[in-house]
Amino acid sequence: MDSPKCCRACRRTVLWFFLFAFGLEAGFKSLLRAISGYVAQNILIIADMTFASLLILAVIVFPIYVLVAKYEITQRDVKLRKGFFIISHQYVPLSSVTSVTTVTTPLSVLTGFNFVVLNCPGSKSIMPFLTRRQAREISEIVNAAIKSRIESCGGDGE
Amino acid sequence: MNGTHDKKLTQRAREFLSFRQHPIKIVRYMAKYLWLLLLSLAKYLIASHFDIKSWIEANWFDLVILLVILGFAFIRWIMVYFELGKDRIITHTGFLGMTKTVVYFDDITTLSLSQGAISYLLRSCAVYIETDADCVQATDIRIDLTKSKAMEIYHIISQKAKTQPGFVFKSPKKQMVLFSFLFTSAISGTAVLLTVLYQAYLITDREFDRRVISRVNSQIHQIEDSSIWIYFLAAGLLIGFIWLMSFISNLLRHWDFTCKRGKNYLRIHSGKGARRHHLLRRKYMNYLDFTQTFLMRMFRICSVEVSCTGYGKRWKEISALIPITTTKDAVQSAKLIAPEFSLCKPQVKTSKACMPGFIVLPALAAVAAILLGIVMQNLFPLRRQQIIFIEIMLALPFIWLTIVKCEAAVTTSMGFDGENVTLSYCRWYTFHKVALKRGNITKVTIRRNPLARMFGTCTVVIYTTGEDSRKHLIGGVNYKNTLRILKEKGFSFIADKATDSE
Repeated sequence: MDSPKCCRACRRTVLWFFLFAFGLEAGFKSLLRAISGYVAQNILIIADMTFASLLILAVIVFPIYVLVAKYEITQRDVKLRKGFFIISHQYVPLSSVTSVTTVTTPLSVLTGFNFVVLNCPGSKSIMPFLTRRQAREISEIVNAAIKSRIESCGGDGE
Repeated sequence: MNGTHDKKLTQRAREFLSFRQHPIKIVRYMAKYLWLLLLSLAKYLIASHFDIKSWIEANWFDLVILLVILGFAFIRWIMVYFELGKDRIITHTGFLGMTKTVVYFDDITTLSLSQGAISYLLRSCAVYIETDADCVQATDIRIDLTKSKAMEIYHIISQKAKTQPGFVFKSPKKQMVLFSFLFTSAISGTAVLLTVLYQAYLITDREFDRRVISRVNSQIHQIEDSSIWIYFLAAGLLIGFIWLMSFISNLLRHWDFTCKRGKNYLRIHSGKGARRHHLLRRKYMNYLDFTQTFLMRMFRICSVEVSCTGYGKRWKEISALIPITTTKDAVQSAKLIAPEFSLCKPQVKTSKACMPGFIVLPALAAVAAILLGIVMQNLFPLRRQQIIFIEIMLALPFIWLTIVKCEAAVTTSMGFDGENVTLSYCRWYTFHKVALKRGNITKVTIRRNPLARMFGTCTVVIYTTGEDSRKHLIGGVNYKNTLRILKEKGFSFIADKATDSE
């Protein structure tokens, strides 16, 4: 594989996150209604406003985070670009990756909540919100690189 | 024939014991607070005037529990053993020896032997074997052996180093006192805390006097002497005592510090009272760290630490390679002890123009502390004296941090020269100059917040090999220069058109 494989975070996750946020808000409101008899009104109002503002912030930030996330994989290295308020560019040489962990959540074919974690000595790199196919392909590339490194080092044990 | 049979039994017993831990381990396998049960039993024995029969009748259940615990400890001691192969050590540890750990000598990063005063009397020695793997337990292998067996393992593993003459570094004793003083339990933090407590003692004592004077008439007998001032004094004395004990233990831990360089290993010996031997595998050393506080920097002294998995992991252990010396001597000695690491000239540096970025946060924190104090003085005018004191104690660390960051603003840098990488940065109050190999870098991250994007700077975060390696943050460097230098050295990033056009 000479040319880099470019991936972007799965945009479907934004829709599912909105649904999840809506459900969370509804659930929190029900909880506040249930405890309204036991807790002072002021506290309920403050809690409701705080939760709502955090949720609004998340609903604004999350889609932008997903839209700008970008990953490039070659046989030698992995490059990540994440974040929009604090932009983070990461470079991970595959020679330092000891193992790769793939996390696939239930219904991830629909939701896009798949994660790939590159485990290196002293650090971890997470590629979040991938499609299942992307997560599988990235894992295969990285595992192949690890295997060829082990095979080439196998002779001298160094 | 009986004699031969006895000899065989003795031989078997010796063989059996030679691969078991020191019998002192039976005591350590027993419950930590077993002595509480023993004290209780002893108390009843004394109370019954050593009437054994009635004592057994009254405490038979406790005695049964004690025997069960002793039995379990003995069984565990029997089940835990080790085997020495030509190229590996195999240990059967854990509960009833169910955990089998195989470590090849080639994979060992650090071998440490530790013998305290009591262990010295009992001729036992704790052996710690570490590799770069992130294992479930704190240490890959930890066993307590007889001193002779521990030294046998030590010599087997280090036999290659024996044939090579090496450079030997010894730390003078006066320097060790200074090293212990500087590296004992955050001396400046302790000094601040002691000052706070002493001042609190004075304030509460004066507060009581003030109350007495204000109620001078017949109500004197109603004033309660809370004597709270004495508790502050006691707390201060206690903290001072704890610091002193920490200083003495640090000093004894690193007394007679010697470092010998061999072909494949560094052999480090130190300690008075509790003697420690460390064998560091040179190919698994991750980096050298020339550490200085601001005061050390002013007096041109520094300490050199080495990152090697397992060394410096134990409680209160500092991973010292050169405990303390002048900066010039440290650089020369480090070249001789660990010539594979060398310092190189910086290629990306900060400048005075970057100073605002470094000092803005601590300066704001100091100003906030002072402003808060002024506001509180207006709200509580009667407590003015106490508030001024608290205000100063809160602002002082941030003012000092601002001064330190002023120096950091002109000394932060990154340099690459072939395989050698040198990083100079300041973390909180400590300056670090890290020498590492390019091959030990596992990840490079460039971070930019909105302010950094505005001023064209960035923070570079470099991760290195090691079980629990610290990341190195080089902040406030020019973004374009950094990107160019990193690209030249083989670290490329995804092009970010919007920000790269700045």
